[in-house]
Amino acid sequence: MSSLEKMFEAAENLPNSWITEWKKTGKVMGYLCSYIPEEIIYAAKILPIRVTPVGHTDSTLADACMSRLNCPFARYLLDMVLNGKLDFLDGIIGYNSCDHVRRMFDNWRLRHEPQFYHFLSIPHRSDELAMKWFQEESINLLKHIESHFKVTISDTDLTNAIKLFNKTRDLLTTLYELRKGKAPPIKGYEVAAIMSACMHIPKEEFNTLLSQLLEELKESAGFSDLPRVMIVGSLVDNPEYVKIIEDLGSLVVTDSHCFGSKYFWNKVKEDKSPIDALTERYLLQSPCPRMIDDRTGHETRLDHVKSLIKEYYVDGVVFERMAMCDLWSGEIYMLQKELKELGVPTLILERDYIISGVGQMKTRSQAFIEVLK
Amino acid sequence: MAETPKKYPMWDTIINYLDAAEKMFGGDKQEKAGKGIFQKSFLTIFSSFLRKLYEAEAQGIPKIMFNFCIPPELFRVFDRTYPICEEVGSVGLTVIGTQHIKYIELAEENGIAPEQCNAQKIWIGAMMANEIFKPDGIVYASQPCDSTNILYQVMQNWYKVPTYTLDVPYWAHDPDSEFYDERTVPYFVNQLKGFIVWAEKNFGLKFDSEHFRHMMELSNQAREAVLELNELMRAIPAPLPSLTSFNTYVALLTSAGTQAAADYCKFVRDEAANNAKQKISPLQERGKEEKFRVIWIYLPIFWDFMLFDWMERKFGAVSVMDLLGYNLAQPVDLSSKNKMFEGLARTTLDIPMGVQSRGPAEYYLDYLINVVKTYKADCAIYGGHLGCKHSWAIANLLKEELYEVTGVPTLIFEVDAMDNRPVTSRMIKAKLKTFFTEML
Repeated sequence: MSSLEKMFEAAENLPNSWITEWKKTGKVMGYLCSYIPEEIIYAAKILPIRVTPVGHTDSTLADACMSRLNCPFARYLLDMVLNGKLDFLDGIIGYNSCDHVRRMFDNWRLRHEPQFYHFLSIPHRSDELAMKWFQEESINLLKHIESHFKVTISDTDLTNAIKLFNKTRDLLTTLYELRKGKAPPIKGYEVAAIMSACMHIPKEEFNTLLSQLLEELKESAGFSDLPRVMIVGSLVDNPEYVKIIEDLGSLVVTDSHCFGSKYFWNKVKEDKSPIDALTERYLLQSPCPRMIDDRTGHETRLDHVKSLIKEYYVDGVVFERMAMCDLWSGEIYMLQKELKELGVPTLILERDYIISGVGQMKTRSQAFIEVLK
Repeated sequence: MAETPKKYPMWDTIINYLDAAEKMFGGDKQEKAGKGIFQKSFLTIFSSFLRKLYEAEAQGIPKIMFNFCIPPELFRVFDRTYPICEEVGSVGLTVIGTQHIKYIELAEENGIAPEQCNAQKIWIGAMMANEIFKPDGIVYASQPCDSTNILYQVMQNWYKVPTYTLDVPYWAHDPDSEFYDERTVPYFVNQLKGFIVWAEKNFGLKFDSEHFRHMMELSNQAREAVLELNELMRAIPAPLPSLTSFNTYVALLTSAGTQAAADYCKFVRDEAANNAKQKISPLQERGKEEKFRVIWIYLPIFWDFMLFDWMERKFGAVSVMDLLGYNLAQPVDLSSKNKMFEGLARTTLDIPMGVQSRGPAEYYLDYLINVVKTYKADCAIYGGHLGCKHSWAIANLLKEELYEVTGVPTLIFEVDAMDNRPVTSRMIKAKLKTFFTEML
């Protein structure tokens, strides 16, 4: 099995064989958001995995608890929980990134109590006050893990975890750099699988796999003369979604979403105290539309998208919008208006969590790609 | 009455309506608080607040727009501001007819998603149509929901005016809460103080401790009266009709910190006290008996206030308390500037809808169980607003827990609180009729 095939296997199953293997001797902690400092979990020798309802196609139980007005990602995930499919987790970290997921956590802990639950309150601002708040929240998380799992997390443990995760960030940056060229050596849907795998495999092993893949990609002739597309939105954890767009004759060369570049864009500084460095990196990362101050607000997010368009020679932007997502609805409204003024073609694809309405998605994407040619 | 300038069609429509309503319903010399939204003093306080927009513009007073989960006292810390809650405009237009629909449609035609909350979409449509004024500054809080967060960013992006944001903490400030965090109040106080610096810098305003204290004294008078009203509404039969507390909510949202709000809240309280003492029930006065004491656990249906009158007439069902009317903010300690900021922080953290929404489900659940027990309710009704995703996500949880703890049933149905098209009045009445009939 090639390194890429292994990553597809990791991306498409939860738990996958790496998690099953880890569970033989270790603990696994679930989290759902780019604002959770994973290094703290890893420093406790617990495997952090980013939980998604990958492969789950039913929401019956969750629909009896939540509503059709709620985000399908949250409903499918709750359904997995209520079906016991996430019982392999030794704990879960809740947070307030958005209303749907925040309330999904309420349903989770009150209807199917996890073995360990910690809520991390993420500020919506990023000034000094918020930074201090977030630092204290991170320390509270660390202490709770220490007391519950009866472990000690030293600064050295944190520093080692930071170095390991920064190595992952470096490798992913190298991968994305390759996509800037005229003939990127890898398809966008393959990168989507790599990104999902990254969040579902122990980082040491993932880094080995990705290093191998980067070597293999040197032999790739690459893909040229295709319209270059960027995907912007909340999350794309299913490679199939990207493949549908690419199979119509385009190449996805970059992205701005939580299962893409946002995951690794900023490194954690290694020359300051580990908690300070983690706080700064996670709160000041490429921001989510939930953030509302000047430093992390819409203008900053727009600048980030514009710079990616320029660096990756993007011909058009596909906005991926999960149904019922208020935050991204408003953000996409603003971004689309602004990109239009810059002459960048855009397409909004609203979606369920599971891949559905493929015919309509193909028709709209095809028409969009024709415009880009 | 001075002629109102005709500058902003959205605003002027509301003012004109209130003027007409005042003429039609306000002639009653023996005016009573229990006249719902057509009560004279309420119409007066509301219309004079709206009219002050033009005074502010004439005098160069900065118009600061804010979202409904911030108390206006924050802006009245300064003596020269016109604080205008955006939702007062949007909801005000909804209450008086269907003219807000064109703004919803315009916003959606221009790309605002249909599933987003109309509480902001109406203003956004008017903004796009250039039929509402441009604020000089915007202040919004991260409560109660995502829709508020992002749609205020849309308005900020459109208007390009100075904007200040408040990050409302998730954790509780009450030491008795299992979610208590001692950082909550200091964290928020510092942000309120940050607002003062921002306002001084952007609008040349000058903070004055004495003005702050005087304004908070007036605020305390109003809020104390509301707390007494909360107590008085426990009387059986209810001393005032459905949603009277909503009027005091609007009075606070527009005018808290002014003499007008203090006078109005005392007026409503006094009538409730008088009725409770004499065991007068507005229902009995109309030949009806109070059969069901209802907790309306979410927003009123703003386009159909007569629905509550219908519930009273048809089923003797009185909404004795509702989400917005249940204002728990305590009087503020006036002994020092810091104490006053702490009090203002707590008032914000406890603001109706914000307090239920900003944290874990238990905040909503505790509120619900508490009001059901306090007001000896027979049932709860959740007419869930289509745009309110987070409350929908726990509606069933609330229903189950409430029944388990109190044995009180909850009716749940979908409605758009600001748009009568998705779910009509007739559809809602059919559900209510079945519910009340089953309970009989």
